[in-house]
Amino acid sequence: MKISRDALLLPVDGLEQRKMETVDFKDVDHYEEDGVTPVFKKHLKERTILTKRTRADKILFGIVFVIFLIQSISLFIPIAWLFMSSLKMPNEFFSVQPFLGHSQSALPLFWEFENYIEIFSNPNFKFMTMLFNSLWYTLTGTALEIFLPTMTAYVLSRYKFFGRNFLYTLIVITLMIPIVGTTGAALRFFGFLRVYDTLMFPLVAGLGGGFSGIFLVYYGFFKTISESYSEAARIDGAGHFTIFFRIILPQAAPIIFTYAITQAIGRWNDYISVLTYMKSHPTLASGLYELEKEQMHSDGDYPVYFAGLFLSLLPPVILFATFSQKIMTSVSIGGLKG
Amino acid sequence: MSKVKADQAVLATLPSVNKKKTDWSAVIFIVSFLSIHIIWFLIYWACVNINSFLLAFQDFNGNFTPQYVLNVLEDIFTKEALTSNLGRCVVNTFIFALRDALFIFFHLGIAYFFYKKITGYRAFQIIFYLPGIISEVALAMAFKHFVGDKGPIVEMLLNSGIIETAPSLLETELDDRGFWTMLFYTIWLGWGGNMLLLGGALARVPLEVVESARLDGVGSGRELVSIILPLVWPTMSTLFLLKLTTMFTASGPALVLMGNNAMNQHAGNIAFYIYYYSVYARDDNMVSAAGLVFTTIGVPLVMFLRWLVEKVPVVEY
Repeated sequence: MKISRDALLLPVDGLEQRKMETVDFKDVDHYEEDGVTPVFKKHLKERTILTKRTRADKILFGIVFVIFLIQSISLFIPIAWLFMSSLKMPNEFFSVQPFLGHSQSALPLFWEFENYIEIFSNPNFKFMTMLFNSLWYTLTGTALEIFLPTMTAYVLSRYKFFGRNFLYTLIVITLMIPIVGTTGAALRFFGFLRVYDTLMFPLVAGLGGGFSGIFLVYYGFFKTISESYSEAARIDGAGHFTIFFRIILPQAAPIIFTYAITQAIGRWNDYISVLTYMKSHPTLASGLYELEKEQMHSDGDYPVYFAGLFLSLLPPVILFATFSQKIMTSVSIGGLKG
Repeated sequence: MSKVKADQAVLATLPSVNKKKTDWSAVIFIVSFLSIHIIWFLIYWACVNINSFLLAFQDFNGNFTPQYVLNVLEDIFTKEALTSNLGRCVVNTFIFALRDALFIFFHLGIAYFFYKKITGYRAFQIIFYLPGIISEVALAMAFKHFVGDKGPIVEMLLNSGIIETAPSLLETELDDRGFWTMLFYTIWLGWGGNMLLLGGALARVPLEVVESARLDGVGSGRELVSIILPLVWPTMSTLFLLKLTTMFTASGPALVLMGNNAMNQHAGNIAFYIYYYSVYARDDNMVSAAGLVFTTIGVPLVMFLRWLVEKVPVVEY
């Protein structure tokens, strides 16, 4: 029996198990001439080795599967409860005793989708301001932290000049030494620059991104790009800036994009830095944390507050859902040797 | 002209910073790309660290005194250690470090089952990774209210008579239950940590090694411990060292779960202590003194553990 050429081109996970079982190795070898089967055979071999289980293994994998399933469900329960609570009325949420036959774990009596409108319209929550601050903090910080290290990493990895090795060593050492407790001095430094507790903070602090941790990733990547690209461009009359912006940077686009996504998610969720350096300009993360304290003290409108919390977790989830495969593949492949 | 000579002729026309004749366009390029970063790096790094060092030996009025540093040392190296806030933060920090170290092995176990394509592994991968994506504030608030005294779990336990009073897991200052609840929270959410890097390392393990072990009748446990673990050890040791480097700077969810009250609930760690005294108490001298002491402890500790980890022979493949 022969397997179709289309099936051979598919990754093995895309094939049904039934198809896998009907593969005739003699026929597979037949396709080796056109360069398709080695990949398929690798997948097939991988799948066979990695999924072959003894009886004891089957029991173990069954138990682990159940544990993973329980863990997965448990991760969704509080989020589902948060969403459910965001649709309740304040009185319903606050009732310690069952309220009109309802309780904390029950579905809402009336589905108050208006809570999701009120979070935007109620000035007490300042949701739109926080949303703007979040976007500003995320976009400016991410743009600087992602782009600036490309400049430093490119020059240090591709050009030979006096002091290059010293500079590289200095950066690596400062990245590796766990210096603790400089927050007080940093607060004073940004205060001196007149950017403490202002919206300019992410811009000014972002200028220091040239030698952040991502620098090392870019440095390693630029080292792997063949010099022949630059040489060919130079022969065609391209200058150093043209080579960087039009030849090298596009090649780094996938890695830059992946780190931009992860960096943006991290920035969107960052609340400690915002509470420390720009407290008067809360983002969604820091602002919702502060709002919780106000709700607690004033027995405020928790369902509306929960609506805000639920909305705040959507952008990273949507970003991740859209690019999850790319992120996972890039980080896995670009990971550590071992 | 031979091809080699032709290539040499082409190369000879190329500008290079290595040549005796200075390539000014390259110099301008290098300077324009590096100067602002070097200046910023030197100013920020030097200003902040030197100032932090000086602050550690000053009092509130700017007079030089070693008192703050001595206070910190007293808090962590004397009998007061177990009762002082800082002493407790140190203990918690090391408990978290131990958790992180054990977690790396736990994560390897999880990554191994994904590697062996356990049923539904793609879905599990994404679900376990989600807590790293979702806003910590949103997740922590959901958890806090979910297990809180007015939350559904306590309500159900009270209604069913399993408990008679609400436990105040994240509110009481009477004992350590806030800390242990927080520890449970981090373990519950942390299943997806290191997953991608360990997954990448496992994907590079030669299949022939796994196959031959299987043919020799090796089971999953033995395969994981005796074959996979040595092969991915470089990745694990790097993760271990990375965790160690951030040991004193990662505050964890104490702030978001318990607020500034985390200190009174014995749930703070060193990073939280630093945050608390810099932002909430605004005692820059105390923060700097604590930072100086922990940097002095942390640097040799990291160096020693790096040396220790590198002592483990690396399997080449």
